[in-house]
Amino acid sequence: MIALKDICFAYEERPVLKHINLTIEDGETVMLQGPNGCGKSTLIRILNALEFADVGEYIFEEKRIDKKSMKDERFAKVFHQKIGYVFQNPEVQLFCASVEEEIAFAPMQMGLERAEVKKRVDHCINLLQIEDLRERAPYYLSTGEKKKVAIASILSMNPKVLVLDEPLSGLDAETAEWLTDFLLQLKKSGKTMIIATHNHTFAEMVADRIVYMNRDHQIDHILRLKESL
Amino acid sequence: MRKQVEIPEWMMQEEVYVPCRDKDSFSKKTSGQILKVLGKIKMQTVRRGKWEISAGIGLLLLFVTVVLTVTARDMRFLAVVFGVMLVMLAFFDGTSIRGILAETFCGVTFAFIFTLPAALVGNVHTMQTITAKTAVTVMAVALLNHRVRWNQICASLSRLHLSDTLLFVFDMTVKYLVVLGRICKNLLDALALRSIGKNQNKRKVTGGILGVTYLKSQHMAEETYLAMHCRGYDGTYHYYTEHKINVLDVLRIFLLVGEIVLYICIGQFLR
Repeated sequence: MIALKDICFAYEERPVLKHINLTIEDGETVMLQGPNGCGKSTLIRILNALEFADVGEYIFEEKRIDKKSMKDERFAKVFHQKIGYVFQNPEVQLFCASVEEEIAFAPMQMGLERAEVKKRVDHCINLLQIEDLRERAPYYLSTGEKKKVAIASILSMNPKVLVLDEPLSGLDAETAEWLTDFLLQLKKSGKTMIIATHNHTFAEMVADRIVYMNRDHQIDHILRLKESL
Repeated sequence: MRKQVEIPEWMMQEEVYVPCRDKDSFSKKTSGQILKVLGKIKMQTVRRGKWEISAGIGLLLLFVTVVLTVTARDMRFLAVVFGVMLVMLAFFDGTSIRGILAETFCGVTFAFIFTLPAALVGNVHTMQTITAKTAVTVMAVALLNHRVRWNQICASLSRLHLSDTLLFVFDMTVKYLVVLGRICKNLLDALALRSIGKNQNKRKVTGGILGVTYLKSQHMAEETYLAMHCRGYDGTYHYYTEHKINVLDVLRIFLLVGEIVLYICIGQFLR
C-alpha cells in the first residue's frame, strides 16, 4: 500500500533522513521509534505530502507522491482523504469555533448529505466519548480533550490510513490507557496505522512492526511483533 | 467502568470519494509565504561563525554613513562610498547578494519615481542626488541587515541606554514572530490536509486560524511574563553577548575613519 524507496531528505543541507526503505501493507500497524531528532516527524510529514523527498520515491497505492502529482488538485484531495494525520500538538490542528463544527469540517467538504454528516459527527463524538464537549470551543479544552477532538475530526473523513505523531504525549495515565484501547479497536477494524512514539510498552501493545530509527537518520532495524490482519 | 468502543459500520468500509473542484490557493500561497518569511527570520538568528561582525561597530558605521551621505554635496563622495559597498557586497553569498541588490533597487526605484516630477521641470540634479543618496543609504542598511543578527542589534542598542521595556518588546517581537509564524503554518497545514473538497466557509476558517493564533499569542505572552517574573525579572533586560573583535571589525573601523577623512577632504580641498 505504501512504499518508501531510498528516501533522503535534508533541511538547509543538514541531513534529516538518509536512505529510508520501508513498505507498509494494508491493515498493518507500524510504529516509528527512535531518539529525538532522528527524523520520525519528518518521515511522517513526507508520508502526508507536507514535505517531499530530495531523493527517492514515495508510492501510495501504486501512485507516485511528489510535488508534481500533488499539483493535481483532485488527486491531492483524494490522497488527503485517504491518509489522515493527527499532529503531535493537537492545538495547531483545531481551528473551528466548536467541537461539533471541527468534526463536521471534513465530511461537509466532501459534500455528504446533512443527515450523513450528522450521523458521522454523532458516531465520532460517541466513539471518542466527548459528548459533553460538543458545543465547546476547541481552544479552551485540555490537552487530552484536544487530542480526542483532533482524532475525531480526522476519523470523520474516514481515512484508510491513520498517521499519529506521538499520540500519548501530554496525556494522563487514564486517557493514555483509553487511547491505547481505542487504537487497538481501530486496528481490529482494519485501519492501517502509522504511529511515531517514544513509549515502548504502547508500541509493543499496538504494533505489528516497530521501525527503529537511529541518530544517523537511518532505519536501524525493524522488529516484527505479529502478522497484520 | 470504561465504555466499550464500538467502531461504526461506515468507518470499516472504504470511502468512495470523488472530489469536486474548489479554489484553495489561499492556504497554499499563505503557507508558502509564511515559510519564506520564517526562513529569513531564522537566517537572522543563526550564528555566522568567524565572519560575524560586531553589531556595535556595524551600527556606528551605518549611522556615520547615513549622516555623511545625507549631508554630502559632492557626487564623488557618494560614488566612492557606493563603490566600497559594492566591494563589500562581493564577499557575500549569492542569495544575500540577490537580496541586497533587490532591496537597493526597490529603494532607488521609489526615489526615482518620487523625484521624476523635479527632473521634468528641469531640476535633474535634485533627482540624481536624491536617487544616489537613497541607493547608498538603503544598501548600507541592507549590508548590515544581512551581516548582523537581530538580537545582536538589540544588544548594541541596549548600550545606548534605550528603555529596557522598549528593547524587551523589540526582542520578544522578533522571537514571537518565529513561534507564531510556525503555529500559523501548522494550522494552515492542518487546514490543507483536511481541505479535501469544497469549502463553503473559507472566511470563517481563515478567521478561525487568525483567532487561534491571536489567543495563542496572548496566552504565550502572559506565560512568558510570569516565567520571567519567576526567574527574577525586575524590569531590567540584560543581554549575554560574547563577540570578540575580529579582522572584519578592524577593517570596518578603518572604513569609518577613511569615510570621515574623505568627506572632509572632498568638502574642504577638492571642491
